[in-house]
Amino acid sequence: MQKIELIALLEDSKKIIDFLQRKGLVDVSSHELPESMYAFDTSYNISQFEKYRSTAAAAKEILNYHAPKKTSLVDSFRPPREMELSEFLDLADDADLTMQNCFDIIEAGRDIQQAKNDIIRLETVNSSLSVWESLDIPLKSAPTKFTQVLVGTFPDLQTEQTIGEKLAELVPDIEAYEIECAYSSDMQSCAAVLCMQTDAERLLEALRSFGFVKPAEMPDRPVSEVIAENRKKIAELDKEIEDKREYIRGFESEHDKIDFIIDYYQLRVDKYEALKKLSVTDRVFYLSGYVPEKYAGKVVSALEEKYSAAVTLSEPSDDEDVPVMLENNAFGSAVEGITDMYSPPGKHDIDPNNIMAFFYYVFFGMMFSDAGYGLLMVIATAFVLWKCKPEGEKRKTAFMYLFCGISTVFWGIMFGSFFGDVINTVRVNFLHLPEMRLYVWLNPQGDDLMLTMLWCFLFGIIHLFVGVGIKAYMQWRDGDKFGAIVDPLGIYLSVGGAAPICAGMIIEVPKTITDIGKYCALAGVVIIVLTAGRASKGIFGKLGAGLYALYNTVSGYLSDVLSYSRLLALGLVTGIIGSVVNMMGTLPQNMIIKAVLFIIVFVFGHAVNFGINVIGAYVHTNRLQYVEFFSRFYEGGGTAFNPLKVNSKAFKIKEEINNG
Amino acid sequence: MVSYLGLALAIAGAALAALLSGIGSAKGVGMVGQAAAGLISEDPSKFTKVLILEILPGTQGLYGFITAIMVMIKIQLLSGNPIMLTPQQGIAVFVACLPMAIVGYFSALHQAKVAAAGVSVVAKKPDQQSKAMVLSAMVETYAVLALLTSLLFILRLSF
Repeated sequence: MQKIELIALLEDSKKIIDFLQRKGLVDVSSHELPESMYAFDTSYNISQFEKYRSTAAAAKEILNYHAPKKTSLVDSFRPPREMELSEFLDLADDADLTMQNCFDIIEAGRDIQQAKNDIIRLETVNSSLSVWESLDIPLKSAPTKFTQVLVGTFPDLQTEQTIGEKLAELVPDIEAYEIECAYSSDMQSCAAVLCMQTDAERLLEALRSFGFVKPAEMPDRPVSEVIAENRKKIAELDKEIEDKREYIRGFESEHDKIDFIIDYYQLRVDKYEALKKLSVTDRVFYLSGYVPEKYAGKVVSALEEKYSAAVTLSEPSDDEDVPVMLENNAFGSAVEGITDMYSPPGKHDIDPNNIMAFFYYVFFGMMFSDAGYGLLMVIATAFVLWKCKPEGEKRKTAFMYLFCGISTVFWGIMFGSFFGDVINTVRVNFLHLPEMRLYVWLNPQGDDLMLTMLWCFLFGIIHLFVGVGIKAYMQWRDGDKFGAIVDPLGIYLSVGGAAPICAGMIIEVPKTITDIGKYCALAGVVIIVLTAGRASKGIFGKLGAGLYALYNTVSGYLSDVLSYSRLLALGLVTGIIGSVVNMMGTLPQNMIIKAVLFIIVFVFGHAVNFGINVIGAYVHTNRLQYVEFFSRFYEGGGTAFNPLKVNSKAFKIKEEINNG
Repeated sequence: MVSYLGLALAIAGAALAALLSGIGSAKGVGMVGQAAAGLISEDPSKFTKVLILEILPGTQGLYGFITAIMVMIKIQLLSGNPIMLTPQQGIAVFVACLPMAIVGYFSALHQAKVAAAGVSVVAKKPDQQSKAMVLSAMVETYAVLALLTSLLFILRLSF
């Protein structure tokens, strides 16, 4: 990575930034403002473009809801469409028009939402009024000269008869009234009482004494009329919603253009973010950034050729936070995403991906450990790679699962698992043949359980030792040659020596080997106690720190090695569930029912088993890399190389292909 | 006279493993599911991301099920002609199931808490979903170890 600094005419600033963005090779960094220069304040433009972008994205969402874009699973892996620069510029000219369409879509979407809310409101009113529908007078009737109508509801079952009986009991002297029940049920009864003005107050009081209350909605027209009118309004609103939907569907052809302007405004945001990092005077501007070494010369000559600019390249100084770009072949680069998720390598780290990749695939395969599932992964990823030709991260991910799949097939054959034990299930149940040996190497579900676990521990020890070795390499490189020899030696001897002794508890280990192990472990312990505390002061300090390091080594390595037992455990889980699935499919006695049930259970059961275990294998492989492996040597904390580039999802400008 | 006590104890152990782990996972998946539903009401496009987080505490139920199945295979219950275990053997199988039963229950709940917190990670930073997954999987380590302990016991017992 080289530092690039550039001074050019202010009038060229936007052109140069555009050029750099299309090349996508320079990580523009912010710097301290040189004296007598000032910064571009582009915050306003950035927030404007952000607003446009989010508006377009909102419109896209509404459009997608009403007129979804037809995409297949295959499409989602495809690289973005290539576009000539001239087409890009044409579409950019249309951005305002597309933006106007976006506003229209959003407004139509808002209208639909409003209409939906209105419909809900009207329906609520109608449902609360529906109990009064049989009443042919308005709920809110003005009193006449002598009469008045009392309208209300009871919280229980009341009929004209029960109300009449109660009133006769409570106000026996009032006789001139007429009761009409519009609705009666256990939960609610609705009634209207026509009475004389003079009696109204006492009657109301009597009615209230057994639960009579006024309704919330009291229209001054007959209820049936109000309900009919609301229904009409709802129908109109429904029509309006349908019209607006049709209107939005009319924009279906705009999908691509909206995708484009979402990207386009993202581009503008990125560009103005970069402009914000420039320092300017009235005439010139200054830019600093980082460029990968192998592209540096090309970028400089292109800049100097096209613009009147002064460009210098220099080695970045040690205290700078230089971004890191990873470069690996397909085998190693496939797991770069996994490493980046932990932390991109710091500038003193070595790139762990190539070494990690090997262990990643092996461990993933051991945990997933089913040749059938592995085969499915290989077929699926190979199909994606061959048919869709994905690029960037998607390509790396596809490669990662391809290698993981190959490893899974390998370990499935070693441990004898192909869709669980489907071969034997079919042999015994359908072909009436005896069971056959499926595993090539070990049978973890049978007699070789403990042996398989020991092998897992051995793989773990190798994994850890490689990590220690990398640490030693880094120490040697940084000048600590003594440490680079004694630190790994102490660990190798003590852990390597203790391993056969521990294994002896489970299997027979020849006495000569355990004896050698004993002496090795002893030598390792001595080396650790004597040398691990060398940074401390004083002889007792050194010894104390040495003993502490010994304790850490013993407890740390013990738990770390045991942690690799998950290789066995997750492998067993896949195999056992797979076998249980097959067994469940063969429970019936009748051959035809058995065959039909078997096929259904097989497809469904193995799909679930695949889904659950592929996630398990993924997260636990990550854990072994992060916690057990990286803690040996990896510091991380680097900044990933993040060049100013055309950060687009929907298209790709042809010119930028040459950024590699 | 045949004593069913040994067999009953072994079945009780298997049932307990499936039961407690299953309850733990059901609770756990439920907790994460609620958190996930809250996020989906805001942003339905994050469904697949939170779905993966939701099923993470579900593995304990599966481990408990495996433990139960292994006991059934071991005592030949599935063949319909089970081994008549002595009470001592029955106790051994019962105890062998306990690590998975108890650790399964508690690890599912704790894993669910981490996964539910992970849902809010997905809400704010969707691209950091894998980190939330790894955090949650750390808790599962102990369920895996418990499963291994129980399985080793069960597979190595000989009647």
